[in-house]
Amino acid sequence: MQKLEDYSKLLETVIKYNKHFAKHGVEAMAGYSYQYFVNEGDRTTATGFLSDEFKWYSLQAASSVTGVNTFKGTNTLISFYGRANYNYDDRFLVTGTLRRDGSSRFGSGNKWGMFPSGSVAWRLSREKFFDVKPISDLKLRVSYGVTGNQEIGNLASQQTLGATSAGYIVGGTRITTVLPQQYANPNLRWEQTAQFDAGIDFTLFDGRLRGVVDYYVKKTTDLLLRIPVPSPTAVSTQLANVGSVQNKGVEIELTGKVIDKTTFKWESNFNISFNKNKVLSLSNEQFSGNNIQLAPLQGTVSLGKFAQLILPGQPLGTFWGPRFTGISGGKETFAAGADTIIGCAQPKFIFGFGNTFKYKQWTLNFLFRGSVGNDVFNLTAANMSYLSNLPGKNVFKSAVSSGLGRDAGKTFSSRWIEDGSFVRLSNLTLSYDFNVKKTFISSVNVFLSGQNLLLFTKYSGLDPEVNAEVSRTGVAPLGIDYLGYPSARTFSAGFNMSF
Amino acid sequence: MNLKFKIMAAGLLVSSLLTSCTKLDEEKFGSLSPDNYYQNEQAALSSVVGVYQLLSYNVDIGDPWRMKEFSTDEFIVPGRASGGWYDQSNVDLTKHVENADNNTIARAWTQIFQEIGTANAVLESLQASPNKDKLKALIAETRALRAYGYFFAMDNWGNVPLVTVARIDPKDLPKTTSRADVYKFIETEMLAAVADLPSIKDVNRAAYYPRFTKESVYTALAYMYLNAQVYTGTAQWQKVVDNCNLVINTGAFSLTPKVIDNFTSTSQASSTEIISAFTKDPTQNAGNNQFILYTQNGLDQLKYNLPFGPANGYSTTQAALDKYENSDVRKSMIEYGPQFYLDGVTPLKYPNGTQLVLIPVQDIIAAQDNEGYKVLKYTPIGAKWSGFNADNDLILERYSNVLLMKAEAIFRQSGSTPEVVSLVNQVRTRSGASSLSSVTLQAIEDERAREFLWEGCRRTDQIRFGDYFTGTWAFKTTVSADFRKLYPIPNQQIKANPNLTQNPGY
Repeated sequence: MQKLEDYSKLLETVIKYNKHFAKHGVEAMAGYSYQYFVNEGDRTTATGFLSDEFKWYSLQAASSVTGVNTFKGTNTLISFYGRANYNYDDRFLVTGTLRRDGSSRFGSGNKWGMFPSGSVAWRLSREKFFDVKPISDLKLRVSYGVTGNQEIGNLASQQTLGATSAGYIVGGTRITTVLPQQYANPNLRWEQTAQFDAGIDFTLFDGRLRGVVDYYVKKTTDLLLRIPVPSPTAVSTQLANVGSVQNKGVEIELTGKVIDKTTFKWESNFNISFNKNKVLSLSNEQFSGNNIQLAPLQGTVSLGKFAQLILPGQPLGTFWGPRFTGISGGKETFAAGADTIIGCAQPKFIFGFGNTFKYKQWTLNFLFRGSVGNDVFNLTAANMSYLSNLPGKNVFKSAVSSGLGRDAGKTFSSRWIEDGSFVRLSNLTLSYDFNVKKTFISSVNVFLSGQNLLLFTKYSGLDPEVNAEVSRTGVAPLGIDYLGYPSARTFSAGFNMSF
Repeated sequence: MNLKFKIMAAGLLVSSLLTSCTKLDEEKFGSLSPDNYYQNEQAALSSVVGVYQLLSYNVDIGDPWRMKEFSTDEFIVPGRASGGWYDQSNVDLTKHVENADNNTIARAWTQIFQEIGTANAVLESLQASPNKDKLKALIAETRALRAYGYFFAMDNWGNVPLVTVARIDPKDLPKTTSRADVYKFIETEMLAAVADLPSIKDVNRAAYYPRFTKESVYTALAYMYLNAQVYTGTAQWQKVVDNCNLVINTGAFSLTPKVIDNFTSTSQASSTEIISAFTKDPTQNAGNNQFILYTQNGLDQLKYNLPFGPANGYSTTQAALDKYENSDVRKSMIEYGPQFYLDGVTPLKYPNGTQLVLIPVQDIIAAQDNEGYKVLKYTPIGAKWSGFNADNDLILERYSNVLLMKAEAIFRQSGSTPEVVSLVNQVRTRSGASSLSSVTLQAIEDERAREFLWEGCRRTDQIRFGDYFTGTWAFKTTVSADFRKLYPIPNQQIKANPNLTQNPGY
C-alpha cells in the first residue's frame, strides 16, 4: 500500500510597465515568486489476508505487516526577476532579463544565484537600404543567457544520520540501526548553463524557401554530479558541483515549397545538426577527478568493470576498454597495454528529411531520420557470444563458429563496439480528405500510417537507437544496447471527422 | 511622475519582500545530525550495531566470505547446465588465476572497506560527543570493530590504505600501507580496545549476546598472531598461547555437546562455545541468514519443508568429505550420495521418480543438478523463516578455535606434547572422532579443516600450512605462484585512487 502526496504553495507578485511612443515600444516587468514544495508519503507492506475483501483500507486484517516506511520532505524556491523589451519599428528587438533565484537545497552561503540573459535581433529586410530582390525576409539574432539548475534532492548539502531499514538484535531485543547517510557539502551551489546563440532566419523567393541557421556554444559549469567519496567511507557517493561540459554546434533547417500548384503541391523539409560535446574538467576545490566511471557492465560480461569513462577533453559517452585484435588458440587476444578509448556514443551529425505531397484530396508524407558516426556497445551480443552459456542459456549461432573455446571468459572489449549509424523511415502517412463543403461537417479524413517502416544500418543488434539504463541512476548512459526492445513497427488506419 | 512613482512603489515592495520572504532554511524530517545525536549509550549503540551488521558480511554468504572460500579445497560453485550460477570471477578464483578486474574481489573490497569507513565515522562522532566519557566501552567496541575489518582487509590484500578519519581529503588520497604496518595498527588498536571492553565474566551473558567482550578481542589477536609469520615474517607462537590462555582462564567457555549446537538457531544464544557472533532475525527485520537458500538442492524444499526452493549454488568437494572418519559426527553435516527425507529411509526423489544422488562436481561450467556436496552448518531445523531468510546467527569466533590455535602454537614451538594431543583430542572426541596418541602439523591442519569447514578460515590456514600453493584439488590442477597469497587490489579502486599500489604479480 503506497500513498504519495505532493503539494506546493505559490505566491507570485508582478508589476508591469508598458509604453509605446512613435516607433518605440517598451515593456518592462518585475516580479517576486515564492514556492514551497512538500512531498510526503507512506508505504506499507502487508501480507496474509483471509479474504480478498480486505484491501488497503483494512490493513489491520493482515496476518503480518512486514514493511512500514514513511517520509516527508520540503523545499523552497524564491525568485526575484525583471524583464525589459524594447522594440523599434519591428526592426530592432532588444530583450534583457535578470533573475535572482534562491533555493533551499544548496549550502548555506550558496543558496542564491544570479541569472542574466539578453538578446538582440535585427530585421535587416525592413531597412530602407536593403533591397535585394529574392530575399523577402532576413533577420539576424544574437542571444546570451545563463540558466540555473537546482533539480537535486532535499538536504543534499547537510550531514545526516538516519535509521536504516534493518535493525539488530542484542540480548534478544531489537535495536534500530542509525548510520551516517550523507556527509555535509556546504559548497553545494547552482549548476549554471551559459548559452550563446547566433542565428539567421531567412525567407527567399516569396516564401518558397525558408531557412534557419544557428550556431551555439553552450557551457555548463558547476555540474551537479554524484561523485564517489574516497574509500574507506561510510557513504559511497556525494553530490557535488564538479567540472564543466561544453556543447558547440550548428543547426540548419530548410523548408521549401518545391511545387506549389493548385492541384499538386510538394513541400520538403531538411534539417541537420552538428554537435560537439566535450568534458572540460572534472575537478573542483574539493575533488580532483581525472575520470568518472560510467555504465557498469551487465549480465556475465566482465562484471565489475565499466564500459564508459568520463574524461576531460573527451565527449560524454566515450567507451573505454581493451582493443580486440582477434581470436587465436580458442581465446580472444587484445592489443598490449592498458585500456584505451575504443569508441564514442556521440554522433557526428543527425539529420531529418521530410516530404509532403498533395494531389487533389490526397496527401502523402514521409519522414526519414538518421544519425551518423555514433558507436553502440552491443552488450546483448557480448553476453550471447560465448560458449560458457551452453547448455542452459542461448548463444548466437556465430559463437559456435567463432573459434572461441568453452572456457573463454566473457570480456568487454572493442569487439563489441559497433558503428551505430542509421537511417530510418520513421513515418509514412497517406491520407484522403473528403469534400464536405456545403454540409454541417467541417472535415472528414481517412488515413493509413506506418511508423518505423525501414531501417538501414550496419549495426548487428536489433536496433541501434537504444539506451539501456544500466547505471541505475535514472539517467541512461549513451549508446548501450542491453536486452532492449527494438522500436516497434506500427501500422495504423483511421479516420478523423470534425464538426 | 507616474513612472517615478511606479519605480518607487516597486522598490518598496521588493525591499519589504527581501527582508521577510527570503528565508531558505531547510527543514529536516527524520534525519538526525551527528553533532547532537550521541547523547547517551542507547543512541551510541544504535550506530555501533550498524557496524556489527557490516562486519558480519565477512562471515555471511556474500563476497567477502566466499572470496576466501572459492580459492580453497572446500568450496566450489559450478555453473549449472540449467543456466544459473556461472560467473567467470568465481571460476578464476577457483583455478587461482584471478586478476585485478575480478568482480567478486572488487565487491568484497567495497563491503569490507564500507565497514571500516562506517566505523571511522561512528568513532569520530562518538569521540566528539560531549558525553564521550560515558561512552568509553562503546568507543572501545567500535575500535575493535574497525580493527577487525582491517584484519580481514590485511588478510586478503596485505597492503591496504590505512585510514582512521571519517572523511578523506579528496586532494590527499591515501597511499597503500604495508602489510606489516597494518598488522601493527590492528595489534595496537585491539590492545587499546581490550582495556575498556567488559570481560565475559562482567556481563549478563544473555543480555549482552552477541557483542564483543575482552575475550572476543583476545581470540582475534590469537588468530592474527597464529598467522604472524605470513603477515610479517616473524612468528608469534607464544603470543598465540598467551591470548588463548586469557580466554581459557576465564572458565566461561566450553565446547557444546555437539558442534551443530552453535549453528542451530534455537541454541545459539545460550551456547557456551560462541565467543562472538552476529545476530540475524528476518522475522523482526533484523538481518538474515541465506546459507540454506544459496547452498541446498532444490529438492531439499521437500526434505526440510522449506517455504521456498533452494538455489543449489554453494558446494563442497570430495577432498573436504574425505577428511572425515565415518564415526565423526561432523561428517553428517555434509550431504553426499543418495539423499533421504529426515526419517533417513524415505528416498528424496525428483518428480520423475529418480532419487537424488549427490556426486562431486564434474563440470565447473555446466554441472548437472546432482553435482556438488552440500554443507549444512546453519541448519534449517528449528530455524524461523521469513521467505527464504532464516534466523541462524552468523558465527565469528568459537572456543574450539581457541583450543586448536593453542595446540598449533605449542606444537610449532615444542612438537607433539601431551598438552597438544589433549587439546586436539578435546575437539575430536566431542564429535565422535577417534582419539589420537600423537599429532603432526598435517593432523592439526586437517583437524582445523574438519572443524571449521565453511567458516571462512580455510584460505588463511592453507596459506599458513603451504598447501595453498603446492596442493592441487578438484579444478585447481596446477601449483600456484607465491604471489597468490595476496589478492589483487581491484582495478576499480586503483582507478578511483591512483595512489594505491598494486600487489606484486598482478
